Amino acid sequence: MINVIKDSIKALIVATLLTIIYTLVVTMIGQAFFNKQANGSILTIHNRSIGSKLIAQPFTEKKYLWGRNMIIDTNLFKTSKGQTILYASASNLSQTSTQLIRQVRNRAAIIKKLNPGENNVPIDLVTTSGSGLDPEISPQAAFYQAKRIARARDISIKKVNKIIKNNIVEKTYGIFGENRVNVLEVNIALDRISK
Amino acid sequence: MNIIVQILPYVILPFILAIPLGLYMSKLVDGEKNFMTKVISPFENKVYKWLKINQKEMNWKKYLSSVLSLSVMSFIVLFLILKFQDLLPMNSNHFTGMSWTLAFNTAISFVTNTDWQSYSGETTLSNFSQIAGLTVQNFVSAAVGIAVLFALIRGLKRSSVNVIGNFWKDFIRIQLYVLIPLSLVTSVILIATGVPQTFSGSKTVDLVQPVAVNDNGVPITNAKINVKTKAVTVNGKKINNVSIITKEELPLYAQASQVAIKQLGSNGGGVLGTNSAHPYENPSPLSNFIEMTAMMLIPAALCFTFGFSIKRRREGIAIFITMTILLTFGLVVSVLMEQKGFSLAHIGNLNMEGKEIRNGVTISSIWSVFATATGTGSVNASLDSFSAFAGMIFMILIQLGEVAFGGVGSGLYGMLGFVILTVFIASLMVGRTPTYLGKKIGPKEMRMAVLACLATPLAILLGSGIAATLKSTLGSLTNSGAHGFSELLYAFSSAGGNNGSSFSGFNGNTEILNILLGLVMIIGRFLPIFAVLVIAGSMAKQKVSAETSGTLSTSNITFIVLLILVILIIGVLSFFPALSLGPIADFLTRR
Repeated sequence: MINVIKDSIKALIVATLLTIIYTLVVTMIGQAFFNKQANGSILTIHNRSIGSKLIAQPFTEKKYLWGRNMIIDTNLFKTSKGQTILYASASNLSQTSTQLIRQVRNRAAIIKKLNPGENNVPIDLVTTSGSGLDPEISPQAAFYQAKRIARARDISIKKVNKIIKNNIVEKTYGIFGENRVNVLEVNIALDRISK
Repeated sequence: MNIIVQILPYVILPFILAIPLGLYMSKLVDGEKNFMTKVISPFENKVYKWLKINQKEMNWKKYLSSVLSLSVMSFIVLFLILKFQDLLPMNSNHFTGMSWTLAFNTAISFVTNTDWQSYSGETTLSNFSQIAGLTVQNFVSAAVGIAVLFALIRGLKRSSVNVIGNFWKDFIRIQLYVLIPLSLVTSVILIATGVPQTFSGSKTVDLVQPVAVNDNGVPITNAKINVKTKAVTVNGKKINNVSIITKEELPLYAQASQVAIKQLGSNGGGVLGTNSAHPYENPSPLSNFIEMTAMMLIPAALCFTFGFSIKRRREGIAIFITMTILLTFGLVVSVLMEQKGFSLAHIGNLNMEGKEIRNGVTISSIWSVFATATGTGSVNASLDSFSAFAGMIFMILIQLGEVAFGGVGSGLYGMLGFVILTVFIASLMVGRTPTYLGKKIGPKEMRMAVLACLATPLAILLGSGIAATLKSTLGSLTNSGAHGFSELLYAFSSAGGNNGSSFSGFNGNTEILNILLGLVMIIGRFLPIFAVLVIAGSMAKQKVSAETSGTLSTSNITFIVLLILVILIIGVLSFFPALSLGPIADFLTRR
């Protein structure tokens, strides 16, 4: 009995050491060869980090491309001064839930009003993603907003469409995933041509 | 047709890789040399020497007591780490220790290979807890599952002996030869696709555009925000009760190393709350593909390991086919149902709720079937927001005992329990002595096989039954009505099946639910392990009886059909009433 307990403590120590060595090795390889990805794919302009390519930021001004709906949790993270740091989560609501349907209708109405003359609101703009932090939208949802963005920035729609087109990421190898547009990257590109 | 084209790549790669990996692992069962022996064995021998392990083989009692003792030790250590992480290093966010019940639940959850998480990692756990606590148990619990399967395989192939292998040797070898090398490769690929791997701790960055958020967490659109005076106006009207946010949290951990083993070891316990839906755990379609391959790889390979090791490949292939049929059924039904989704007039199909654009509806459904069929339980979309019917398929895959590949080791030993049950039923129907692989199935083996097959349904139904009578459970639900009941039933199915996925609208972090779910996980894990090791012991003792023309074949189509029927009948009989109150009612009442 005592031997078994001794053995299991020793085995657990070995497993812990192996895991720590494994984690260190992976970290070293990651930091050495894939430094950017290993540190969170952070985008920088003039040495200032302006967010991660992978994590959505909410955009609410007309001149910016908007992404997936975000449900923002204002209580999770705070700075030392007590200011809220943004983080978002999923709705976890059933597709048939009346609460969800009401919210989706409200959002669609708001978006439609700000994009007059367009067809139905693309579904990805009014639904929340599984992480709440989906950084991308479908190309259709991006083109849908082109007119509004162009008007707000006083530039031609063509220019906006071109930027969106340049940022379309196609399915990987033509089979994996979906075509999509990174919202933050489009907005950075937009800000570059007109502030 | 289109569906099949979309599904195929995700199935083909793991199945192709499974055959060589299966052969490789069969050498570990039999203690033969393989191509890694030269590299690893010097180190392996040092470990044995340092541990002063008695390398003698064990009988089933000793094997079981080693499994249990390691699991208890693991529980105690993990519990203490989680409870007292504030006193431990690498806690840059200054998180406090978990509450007693949450630490209990989480420790049980990771030790039993369930990886149910009643918390979100990014707001609860330090880097030290993640690495030295959870990642360690991801390896340990996976290795324990595979070791128990190895013991069962030895019991089935040996004759007239008492011993079924040395647990410590199995445990160390599975880590050194299988889990760590595979995890190394997988995690490096994952980093390349964008999964972070750093000890630097989380970062905050400035938002490109400051945003005003109301009390419900809804960003105010088209608002003019003056950050200095904190005034928010929309079309000239002042808006009150909003907070202005200018910074964003980027949760950076050693993600890649943990994500790799969480997928490979059918654990599913991610670093972050939303698991592989989070762009930092699963940033691209390519990482999604790698992670899906990783979760199917070892469970599929073990079928071939079984066939190679008992020197009857057909038996392994028969089980592989059975599992593939069950998996395919789940894939086709849930993908079709989810594509149909729920359409809202003038708006569109709400099936994108809870899903990421890069994965889309179909691939999210395939992932969820993989994760529930294999016992991995990681998610790349919100399961709560899947259509009622697709959600039911995920639940059923767990409730059938996770035998459509199932957890590493546990899936196949669970399936072998069903095989013994089926052999017994089929043999009695035609009036033959029930034998499997030349071993007689007596009353003792039958009792244990029944125990292995019924422990999970029993634990699930008892647990959810008790929880359903508690008024406080209502407070844990996000959705109301039948869908709310589905959340509860799913939580207990996930715990009893040692799966770990959840309808995340369900808040399991209350004292009573933490304890109840923890107990269900223990029953779902250790009763089958006990039963399997008893079977292994008694099978090893038997002589192999010669096969005659009267022996029932266990590798032909008739047997596969029978086996599937037995699995379905047990599943349906156990769960139909509960399912009809949850997902079926949810499906029928939708407008």
